[in-house]
Amino acid sequence: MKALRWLRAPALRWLKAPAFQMAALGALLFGITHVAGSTLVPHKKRVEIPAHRLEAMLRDFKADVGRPPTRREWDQMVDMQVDDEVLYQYAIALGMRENTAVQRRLAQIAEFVDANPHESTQAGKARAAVELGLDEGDLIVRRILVDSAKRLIKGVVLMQKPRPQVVEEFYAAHSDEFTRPARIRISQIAVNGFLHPQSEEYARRLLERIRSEKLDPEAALRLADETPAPVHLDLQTEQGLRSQMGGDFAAAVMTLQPGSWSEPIPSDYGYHLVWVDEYEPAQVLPLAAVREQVESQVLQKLADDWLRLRLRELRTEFDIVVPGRES
Amino acid sequence: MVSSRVCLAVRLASTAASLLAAISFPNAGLAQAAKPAASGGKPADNRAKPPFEITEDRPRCRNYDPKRQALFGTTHLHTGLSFDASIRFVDYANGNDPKTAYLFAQRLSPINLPEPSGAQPLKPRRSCKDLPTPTPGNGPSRTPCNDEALDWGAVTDHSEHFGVMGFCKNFLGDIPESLSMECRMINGFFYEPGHAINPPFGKSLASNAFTQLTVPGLGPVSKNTNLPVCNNNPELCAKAEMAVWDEIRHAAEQAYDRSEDCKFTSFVAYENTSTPLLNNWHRNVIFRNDRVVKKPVNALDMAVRVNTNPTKEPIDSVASVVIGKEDAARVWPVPEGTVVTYPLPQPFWNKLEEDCTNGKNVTDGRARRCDFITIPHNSNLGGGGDIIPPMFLNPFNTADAKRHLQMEPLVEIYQDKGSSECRYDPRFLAGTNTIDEYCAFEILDSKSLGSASGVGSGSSGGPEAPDTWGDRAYVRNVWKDGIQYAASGKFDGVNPFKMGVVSAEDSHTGVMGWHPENEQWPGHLGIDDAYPMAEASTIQNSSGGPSVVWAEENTRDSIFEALKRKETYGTSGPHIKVRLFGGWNYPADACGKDFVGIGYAGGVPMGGDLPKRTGKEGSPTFITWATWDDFLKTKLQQIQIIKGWVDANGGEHERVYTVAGWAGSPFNPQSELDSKTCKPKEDVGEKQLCSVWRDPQFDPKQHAFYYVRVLEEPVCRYSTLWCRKWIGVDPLNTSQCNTQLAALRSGSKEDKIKADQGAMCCSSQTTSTFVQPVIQERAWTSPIWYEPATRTTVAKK
Repeated sequence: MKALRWLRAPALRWLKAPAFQMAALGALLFGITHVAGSTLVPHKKRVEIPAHRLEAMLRDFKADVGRPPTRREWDQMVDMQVDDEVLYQYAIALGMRENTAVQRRLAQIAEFVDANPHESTQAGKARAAVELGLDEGDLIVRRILVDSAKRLIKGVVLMQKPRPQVVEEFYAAHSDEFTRPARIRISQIAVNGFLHPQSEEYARRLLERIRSEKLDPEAALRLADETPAPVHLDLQTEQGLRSQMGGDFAAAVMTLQPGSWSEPIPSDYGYHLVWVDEYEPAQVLPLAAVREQVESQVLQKLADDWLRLRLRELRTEFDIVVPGRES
Repeated sequence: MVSSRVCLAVRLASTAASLLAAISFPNAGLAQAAKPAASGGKPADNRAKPPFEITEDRPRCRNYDPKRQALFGTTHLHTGLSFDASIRFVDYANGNDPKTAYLFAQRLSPINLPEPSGAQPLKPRRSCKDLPTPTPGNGPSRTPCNDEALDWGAVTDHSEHFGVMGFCKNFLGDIPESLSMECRMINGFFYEPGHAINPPFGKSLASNAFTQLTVPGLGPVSKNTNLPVCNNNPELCAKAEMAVWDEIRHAAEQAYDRSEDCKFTSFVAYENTSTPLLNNWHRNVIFRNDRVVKKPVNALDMAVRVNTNPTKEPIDSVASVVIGKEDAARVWPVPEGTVVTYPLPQPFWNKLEEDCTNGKNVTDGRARRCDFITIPHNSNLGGGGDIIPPMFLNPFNTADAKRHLQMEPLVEIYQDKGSSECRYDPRFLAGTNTIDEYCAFEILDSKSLGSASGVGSGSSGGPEAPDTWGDRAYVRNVWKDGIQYAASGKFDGVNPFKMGVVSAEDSHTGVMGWHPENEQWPGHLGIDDAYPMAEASTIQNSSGGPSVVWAEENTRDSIFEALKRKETYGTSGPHIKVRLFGGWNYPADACGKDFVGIGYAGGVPMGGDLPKRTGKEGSPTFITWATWDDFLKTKLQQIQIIKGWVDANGGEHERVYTVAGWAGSPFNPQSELDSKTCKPKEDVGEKQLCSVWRDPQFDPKQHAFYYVRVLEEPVCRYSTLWCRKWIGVDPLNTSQCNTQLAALRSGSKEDKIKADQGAMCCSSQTTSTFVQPVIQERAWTSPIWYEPATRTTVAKK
């Protein structure tokens, strides 16, 4: 919950503010208020992505890549610019310019143009910067405001606890992410690769002998060579088998069925005939065991969805003009 | 228009309503921070009492193996929480963080890297099931997934700047400190992708921030300090530091699987970034469990004297300090009156011991006590010149020699910034105190961190003779010096440099456990080496390799004890498995039996000391075994045992023995390769090799060490495949490569850009930038040491 940490202090202030609570409820029910004719941003503001910014983007892309962007690449780049601009305007509409860091930055900018910088207060200088429009071109102010707006929008969701039903539905829809892998318990007859250079062939002959003589598993196990590999391996996952016996062995063994000796399977030590003693299929972990993880993922997804939704809606609040493109 | 607006409004409203319905508004307000899930209770009854100390209650793993198993991990990795990742546009806010790094290691998540321009990927990749996001223009994807999952790992972000990172990454909200000069450097405000007037200059300014953020505070001999933004706001900085450290600890807890499945083990860790005059004296600090220091102890603690007034007292960069009475306790066991012109690791070790081991400043947690190890790395960039000595300092006295031995059980022998095993340069037909031609592997032409990383003043004068490197730039020489000390009796017979071995990555991109030797490698330093073939310093870097332990199970206690007893090895990338045992009477046919059981029963594993000789034994015998990486499927060529020893006159010696497989050709591996496919020409090599070897030149009066180096059959280096795929030149075809590059330079604009991106593609073993287009991947084990039973003092060096 990294969002919680850096949201806590300013977010508490915002959450307690009645104005914010009203704005949040209004934002959630924006469809109705929109039809009724009242919107968060009282006027549909014209917002233009400056042509020089698009030119700079195009120039940088060509310099880096050596060709113009494809239509798709260009559309994606422009969309990001539009989203940033919308969030910037949204942040201003919410009064986020009052943020301490922004005020200080605005005051810094204004010092260059203030006739008496030492006599003016920080608030005064910041006001002057806004009046002169210096904030709009300052990348630092823009970045702070855009980031703050994103965090605020997502924070509305991230601060909350998802409803149990939603958690259960998400859990059901993504059960493969919460699955305990299959486990297997085996016994094995090893053919030591250093005793028998043609160990695969040797293993095959052993298998034929076991079948022709109808040896029971205990008798068959006595045919094994000595290797570092244990004769019996307890119930474990493919990952566990890989650590002990190698990846090829682990992958092959997990496909075996109980009740018969396998064909020769290679391992780190040679070849093996494997008998499956027990197989436990993969099972979805109960929700109780992974609830915290599921809730976290649900909130992240909801927050991302909410941000996307909110951006789509906010776009309708502005008259966005992109030179060379229909708004 | 109205109806479409109504439709949109209704649609959005209904979606919003469903979102609203999905979340509740509890009266309590803020959701509580997630706590780690409860453990599974007492250990399983069917496991014998394990041989390692248990400091945390948890069930034993289902695949517990008393003969130990190879567990692949990493001891060195950075995310967007490191200052020098962030200056290169590796973005914490875009998910490049410890939590994602741990998921990446397990192949559960991709990770976002900056595009070469510095912009974040246009279309983030949400899952490893999705296709990688193509990079605009040229080059590999910037949203990779891991190829082979890791078993364990540690995120080691740079700890000195945790406070600053806390400011810059909004851990305390939008506070004025987030606009400080330091944050502007760290957040790349000097270069804004898509807005820069002069992008190349901006990028250079952004990455040169490394020097500004490192040299002033992390290398002075004395009174070094934090960055000004922290010195000006110490309480707030401490708060920010705690917030970042909390996140790192929490991410490790979330990633640690405490169930019987033991899928993944994480360690809480960080890096000490001591950098005297841009020489690398870095060390990683790895904690055993969740009981860790409340405040990281790091390079700032290596100052000979503490700066009590950091906003007024200057640092001492290149001065000499005489250790006085007032310093003695802090820098023990460095004696009073010692003149030093460099920082000291002793106060760093002392404070870690005090705060962690002795419990003075330890966090709460489930475990019973705090424990740690420190692992130095990049001795190849670690000094040895006139002003700054090598990071492996001469001990000051016997107590100090014991301190080195106690505090640094391991050394990182290989990582992204080259090999520190040994150095042989075919351009000079000579080595740094070696004639071992297989030491011509991933050697850098840089001597310091600044030039290796591509910032600051680099070595631009071409190759330098091997004897201009200090001997102790290379670990094999350090080992020889260690047994020399022991043999001379200088420190009462103590060998201060008895370090085992790990490999690592040091990638600053969060790509934990990813070591591709192919064209998918996007560099390890964000925008600095997004095109690794563009510059001399970056083409010499690689993708590093894993740290491997032989441990009973995949848990913190078991792995940590394996690290401490040095039953460890490292590789240059592949998941090769290697065993080494040393004893006096191993049977010659051990390979055809349970050689592991025989090895443990009759001797010691890698990292150990040969049992004391009673006088009846002959020469020591060694069992060594290796198996290939069955995912990459490159066969093994040979196993070598490398012996180092000291003679009666104090002279140091070394010799390489091929004990299994066949001795290839170190300078012409290309002849064994199909140049079209970059695979070995015929069906050469073996999947497994094993040998029982007896030292034919053993002298029981001589101190010695033995370690194993395993070599694969040759493959193309990643730079070769990279240049073929993305640039369209062939480094294997020397006569044509430069012609191809020249043709690009005089071609279209796109061709010219490619020529710049691949400017170093035609480098080889004979050019001024040393690169081997064909390499032999390898593994190195911890040594086994031999000490004579009765001490006979040799002449001191």
